[in-house]
Amino acid sequence: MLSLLVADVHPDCNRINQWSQAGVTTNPVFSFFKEVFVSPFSPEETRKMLLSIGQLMGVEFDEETLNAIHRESGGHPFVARQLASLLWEKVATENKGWIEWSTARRYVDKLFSYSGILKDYFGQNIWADLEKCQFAAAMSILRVLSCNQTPGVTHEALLAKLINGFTESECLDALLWLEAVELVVRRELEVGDDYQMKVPLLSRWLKMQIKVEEVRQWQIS
Amino acid sequence: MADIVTNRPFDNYRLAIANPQDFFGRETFLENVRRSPFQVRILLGGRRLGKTSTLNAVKWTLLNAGQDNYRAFPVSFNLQQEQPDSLDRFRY
Repeated sequence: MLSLLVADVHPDCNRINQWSQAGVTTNPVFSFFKEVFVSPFSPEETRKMLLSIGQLMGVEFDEETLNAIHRESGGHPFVARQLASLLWEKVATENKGWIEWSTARRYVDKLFSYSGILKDYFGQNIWADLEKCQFAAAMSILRVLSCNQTPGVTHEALLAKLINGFTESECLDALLWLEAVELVVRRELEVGDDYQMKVPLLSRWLKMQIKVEEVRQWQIS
Repeated sequence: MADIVTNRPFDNYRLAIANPQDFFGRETFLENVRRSPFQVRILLGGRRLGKTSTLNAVKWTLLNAGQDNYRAFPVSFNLQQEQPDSLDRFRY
């Protein structure tokens, strides 16, 4: 018996049947795979990861810092580790391995001025990937959500904001994708749904890329 | 390993995790693979979210599954490195 397990960022190889390569008329693995999305960590998983690595290092965190790392990273394991790495460097070495929120907060609040790795991560991995795929609807949705953080943007308001640049179908495809890869969270409310950014750090990074005068363009009045 | 971790705490994971001790989470998925190893799956997710690390964990899981009715023999291909330029070359 033979089994296949494939990993990829995008589901194109499973969802697109017609390829543009010469001599390949249809995709031989079209709709062949069961799609499984790798989720960000739950709060418990983030906590377990940080405490386990911290134990090896002789580093301990207070509860508030653990919660903040999970919240800001959205449970993304690489981002959470990089945040913990920065706090180890800036806080733990000065405090005999103890990291508490009162000391750590200033570094989390101004993270991108301390961590080039994380600044590059959002630019080169998440954003550049969307640009490469020319996923303009997804990029616009992320910009709108970043510029309208609280209390979330309703489905109707989001579509109304984007409808001049994209079809409803393009917006829905982008929303489904962003929700599936957990960059965006949908809340099912009593009346309708709304959307929020899952990774607050991505939201902060995106706002840094938008000129002050352009922010209004993405805000819902 | 302690030295490596000490030198680069938390930050020592820029490549996929290759050591079971350093791998966290994904229990439900690994259990599903253990229960249905012959289902063909595609793992999807953003970059650095742990897809390749999870593939590695599947290898450890299946190799240590202790099942009597089958024995896993995991083979990995990296298509980013192989870059087959045609379907025929992909089917080697």
